[in-house]
Amino acid sequence: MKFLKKNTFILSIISTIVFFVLFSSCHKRIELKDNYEDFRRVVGPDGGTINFFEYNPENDKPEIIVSIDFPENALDSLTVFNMYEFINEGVYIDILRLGRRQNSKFLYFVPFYESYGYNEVNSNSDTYHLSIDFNTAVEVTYKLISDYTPEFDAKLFRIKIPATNEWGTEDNVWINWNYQGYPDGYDIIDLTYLINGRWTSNNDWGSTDFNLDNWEEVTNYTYNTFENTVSFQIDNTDYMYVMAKVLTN
Amino acid sequence: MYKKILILSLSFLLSGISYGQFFHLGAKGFSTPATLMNYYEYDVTDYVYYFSNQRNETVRFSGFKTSSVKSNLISPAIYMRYELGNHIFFQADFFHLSFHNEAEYKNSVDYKDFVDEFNPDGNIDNLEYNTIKLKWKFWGNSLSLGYRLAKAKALRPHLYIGATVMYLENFQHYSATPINEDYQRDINQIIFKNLDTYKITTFYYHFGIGFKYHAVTLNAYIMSSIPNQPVDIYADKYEEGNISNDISLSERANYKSLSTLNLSLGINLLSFNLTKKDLKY
Repeated sequence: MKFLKKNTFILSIISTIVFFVLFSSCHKRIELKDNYEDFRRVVGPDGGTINFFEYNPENDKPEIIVSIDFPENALDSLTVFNMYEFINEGVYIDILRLGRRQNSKFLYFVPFYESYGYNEVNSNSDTYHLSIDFNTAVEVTYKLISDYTPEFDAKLFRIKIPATNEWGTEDNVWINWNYQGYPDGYDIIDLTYLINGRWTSNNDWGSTDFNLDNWEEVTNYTYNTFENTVSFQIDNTDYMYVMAKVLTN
Repeated sequence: MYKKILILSLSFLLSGISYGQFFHLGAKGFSTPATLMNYYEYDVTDYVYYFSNQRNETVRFSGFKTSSVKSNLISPAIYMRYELGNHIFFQADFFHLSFHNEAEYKNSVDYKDFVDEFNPDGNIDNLEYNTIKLKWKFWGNSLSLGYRLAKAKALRPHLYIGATVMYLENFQHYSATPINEDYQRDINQIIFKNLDTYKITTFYYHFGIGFKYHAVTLNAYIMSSIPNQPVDIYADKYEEGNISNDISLSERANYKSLSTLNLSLGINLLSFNLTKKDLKY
């Protein structure tokens, strides 16, 4: 009996350890501080808000630079938006202020349908700007990151991007594709010529002097001084936007 | 017919009792030279994250890198073995298993652009451009029924089968250099969260062969998840096809099965002869 008690004692110890380990140390699933919904740039008929962030190593949290609020049914299907800032200095912006041209940042979006998705590299795909008309207006809030603000006489402009075949089958805006098979903004020369007016509906690509024929002032916007943001509504994806102070001769 | 088989089986078992009963407590170490984790597959445009950073990063999940699976050299286990006669034995094991592997994905951003954007100073070792390193830890219990051959030999081969239950102790997104408080870390956490779908408790069968030489036992065995017992908490949703148009990417099944090939070496630490009048050890 003496030995049996010892055995029982050993088995009890082992059993206790086993149960303790099993029931006290199972995996605890993490709770996310931010969900995918906070970081996605795909939206469908249900609507929702897309925030575009900019990572700054000096800040703990990424900064929202563009926010797009899609009402319900503004879109008919799942759509992905890429957002780009295009820096250009070949335009008439503040040219005369310091006797030199200033860099300006232009904001634009490259949409594509979610079902269209990924393209194999070098595949024959539609590589033109996709024009999407929203069923209801969509509000864009843009944090101004340049020195140009309405407080210093700058204005909000939109610059036309022709829809596919709108200016002719040979005058469509090309989409660049990167080595991974994903869209990577519009062709830089196309954008430059749209901005500086060397390419409009009335002339051939790159065949005229600089002008602002493609520029249109957006008057209906609100400026938040505290946040340094402008909010405006868009009906389609056929424009790029810029807050600029334009001085022409 | 069934009655005959039952009677024969009982006779076979009971005949062993007359030869004695032994109880062993032991420890063993085992290695897992091969770990195969199968995953659910999705269409190329499915299971895609569209993140809204300045590089418009799109991440397309593409499975797990089988070549990256690395387990610890030796995993520990303790066992209790009850031997009935010269041939039959029952064994209960309690073990710990850990291994690493990598989830793979396609990143829409060209690598150079990615590095320029997220690691311009080159001070992040593990940038996780298109993989996420995963670290798995399990506790496990197994119960085996074995049959030992060649009773007159010192070196005795045996065959055995059994069932195993594993408990997911820890599952981590393993990063050599943590990316602190930045956007990329948030993105990787979101991806990892959707990979964290392995059930806490999972069931397996195992079978193997081995040799016993006095108090030492050498085994080679395969353990695999039971086909009708899903290892993923969202496996049912995948099977039912309820994942289309789910842009939130939540409740997305990942793991189909887990199989391991194992080699173990054990030694009896305490042995008891249960047929003697007084138990000794």
